Amino acid sequence: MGGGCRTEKKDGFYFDYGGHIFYPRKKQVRELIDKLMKNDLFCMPREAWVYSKGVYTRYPFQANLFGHSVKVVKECLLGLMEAKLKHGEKPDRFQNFEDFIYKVFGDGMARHFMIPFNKKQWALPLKEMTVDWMGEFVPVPSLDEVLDGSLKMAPKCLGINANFIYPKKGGIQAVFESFVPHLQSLNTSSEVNLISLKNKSFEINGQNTQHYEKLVSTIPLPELVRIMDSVPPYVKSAAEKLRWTSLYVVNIGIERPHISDKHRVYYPEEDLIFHKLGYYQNQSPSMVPEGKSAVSAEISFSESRNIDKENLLQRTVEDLIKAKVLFPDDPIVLTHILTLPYAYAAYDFQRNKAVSVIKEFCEKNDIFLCGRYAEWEYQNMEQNILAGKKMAEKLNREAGLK
Amino acid sequence: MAKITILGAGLSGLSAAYHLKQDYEIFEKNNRVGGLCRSIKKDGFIFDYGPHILFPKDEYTQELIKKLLNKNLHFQQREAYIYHKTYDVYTRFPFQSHLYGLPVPVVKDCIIGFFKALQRTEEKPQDYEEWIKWNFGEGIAKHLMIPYAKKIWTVSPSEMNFEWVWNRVPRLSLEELLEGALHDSPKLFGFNKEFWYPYHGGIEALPLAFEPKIKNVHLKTEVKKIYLKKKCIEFDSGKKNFYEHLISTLPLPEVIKYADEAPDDIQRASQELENNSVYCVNLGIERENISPHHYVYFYEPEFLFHRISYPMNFSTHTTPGTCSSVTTESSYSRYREISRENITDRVVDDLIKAKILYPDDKIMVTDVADLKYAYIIYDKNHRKNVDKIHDFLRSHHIFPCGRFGEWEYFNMDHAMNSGKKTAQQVNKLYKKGQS
Repeated sequence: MGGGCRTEKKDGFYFDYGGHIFYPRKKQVRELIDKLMKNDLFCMPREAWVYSKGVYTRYPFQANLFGHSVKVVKECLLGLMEAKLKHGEKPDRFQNFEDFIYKVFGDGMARHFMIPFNKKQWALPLKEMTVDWMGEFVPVPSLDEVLDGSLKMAPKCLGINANFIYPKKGGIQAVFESFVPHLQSLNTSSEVNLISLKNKSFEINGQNTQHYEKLVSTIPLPELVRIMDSVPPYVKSAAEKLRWTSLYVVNIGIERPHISDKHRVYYPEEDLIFHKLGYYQNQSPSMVPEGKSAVSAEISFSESRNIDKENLLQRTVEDLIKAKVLFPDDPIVLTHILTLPYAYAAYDFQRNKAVSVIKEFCEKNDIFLCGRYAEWEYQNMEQNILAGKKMAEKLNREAGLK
Repeated sequence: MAKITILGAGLSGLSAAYHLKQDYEIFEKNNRVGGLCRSIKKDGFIFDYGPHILFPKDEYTQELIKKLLNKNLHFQQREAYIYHKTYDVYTRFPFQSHLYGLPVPVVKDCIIGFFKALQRTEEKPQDYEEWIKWNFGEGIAKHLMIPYAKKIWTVSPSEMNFEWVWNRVPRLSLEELLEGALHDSPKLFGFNKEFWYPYHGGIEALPLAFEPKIKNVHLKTEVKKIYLKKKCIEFDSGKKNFYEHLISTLPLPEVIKYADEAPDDIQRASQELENNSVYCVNLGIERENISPHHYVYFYEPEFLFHRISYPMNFSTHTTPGTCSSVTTESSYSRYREISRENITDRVVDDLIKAKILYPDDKIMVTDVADLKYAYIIYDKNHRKNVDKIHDFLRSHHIFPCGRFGEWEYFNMDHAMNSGKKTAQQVNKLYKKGQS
């Protein structure tokens, strides 16, 4: 169990399904986690950085320009101020995500980070994306804050996830394993292949049929539509419109301790295949065997960004050397590729309509969507926990329970 | 008999004489030509009456200066800095183009202020203070421009107009502001970023070079009275001089004082003219190379001077080999008085405070020059009063000329141009008369 929050264990190394740092801000969530995990958590300041043009600067890029060349900082500040002069201090109407970037951050930041990074991370043309997903995921610092970050080195990370918690042992999966003693009837290795809407039943592993009164689905929306029988064409066609970003996580273990002091590093430059690297051992030392290090590279792909899986490992290692993360003679003791077919729901211009059509259809059939992949939203771990809670409360209410 | 009389043998008077095609006589109260462009020679040191550097803009004046000084001319790049005692740091001049080195909150203040000034929609500026804020924003105004303006002008910039500014206060783009804020940019800004100065003889070499090319110079001859109707000047010696046309380079208030036939409204206008004065304290120090700079600006009120300069760096020939020289300038006026008593001691104390002199430095030469007429102050009635007096003088065949005759913020090349322009006007009158 654990879903996207599982952790793979291999030869003494632990790898999460992509970087997961947990920064619950709601008191009830923090209390729940503390209750479940007791003392098995580390809490630490985030070390998130950007590597570009040969220098590391703090993440987010826009709030930490100090360290870049004078030319880059100047272009970013000039672009930002020109954008503010042209579009006002707080522009609020955007044609698409790319338009948002240019209007809010200006030409310089767009060129030096925002456009190339987001193209790589989303594996989608930014003009085809809306700005509905952003919320607090793209911090917009004030001019004052941008200048502060341009004129001096910030001593630590700022923003919504300046501090985060992480299990002392077992990777991010440990958080969700701690739910298990409080649950009942957990069936693992049980893949649902078919849902019969008429019979209100589903088939597990192609045989065992189960009936339901109400079904809460957290599986990715396109998968759900695929396995439902007698889906009308308008729902099918809505599901066909859904687009998403998939992810390879290339994990590499090497025979050298402390290859980095950072948690994650963002790479905007196009010549590097990955957009993000994670060093899980800096989240908890138990993630790697003693004396060794691991680096996890995240590589997005989609129908509009093809990645050749055959050469993926070799290309990643080459680029890690290019980015000076690995030395050419580092002994690689482990390689491991995770594939996340569904990593991010794409917020294109068809998403909202398509999701609401499907959701409405499902609810008519007593199927309720819950979580990042079922609701087809950009949710973080806290939002997912809360989505589950909200769904449970709704069902409790309907069942007359309290 | 000469029909044209020139009062004052400073640069403008000399230039007028040089460009006149008619006979003239030129009267100078001092024992040698040059006016404020003279130099002080003391025990092997040469000091000017306040720093004088040449940065002529028009080709004619450039050629004239080259012709006059021939090989005695050194071209160099200005090294001007601002000292911030509060942060104990030097930044390059002009302030707005070189914010790098200042504490982050100050730099940020200046950039945000500048940015807000770009967003402004209010009316155009009405006075110099508003002009500063309009062009540079609140931060730059607060951190440097206003305190410096108050020091050099002795009056608040809100009481001044800004018609004199021209590019004396260099404006800049947002990009230039950022460039200078992000690193120690060596790019020079301002109209005098490169300048000329004589190798030998201090700035006085320039007026002296005029001397062989002009005639009828009467030194040690001070005006006592000007009779407007009789068109006659009476000198201290009792000697009289009758003129057809008078080119006067004397300070306007002095001319009106001598010409006591001038009606009340002219007298009143003359009394309203504002100027500051400057004490130059010149020091010869027994220590080599105390600074690599030409100028350092001091905007903080705790310093008696608003600027210091190092004659030794204008030309090494102004200073004996193993020594250094420094000139400090302190503005005063009826609005801010400075006592002359102990001024040298107070200046030395302040130079020690600024870490320019050491307490045990041996001072070999001291000299105090009092420049009674130093800068014209462009108060809000400046133009009105000057026009009125000029019209009156012209109606009496008197041509006001030069920095203090025209009563404008002139540099040396402007003063030479003013002499030339006035000579041409007079030449034209005679050409017409003959035809």
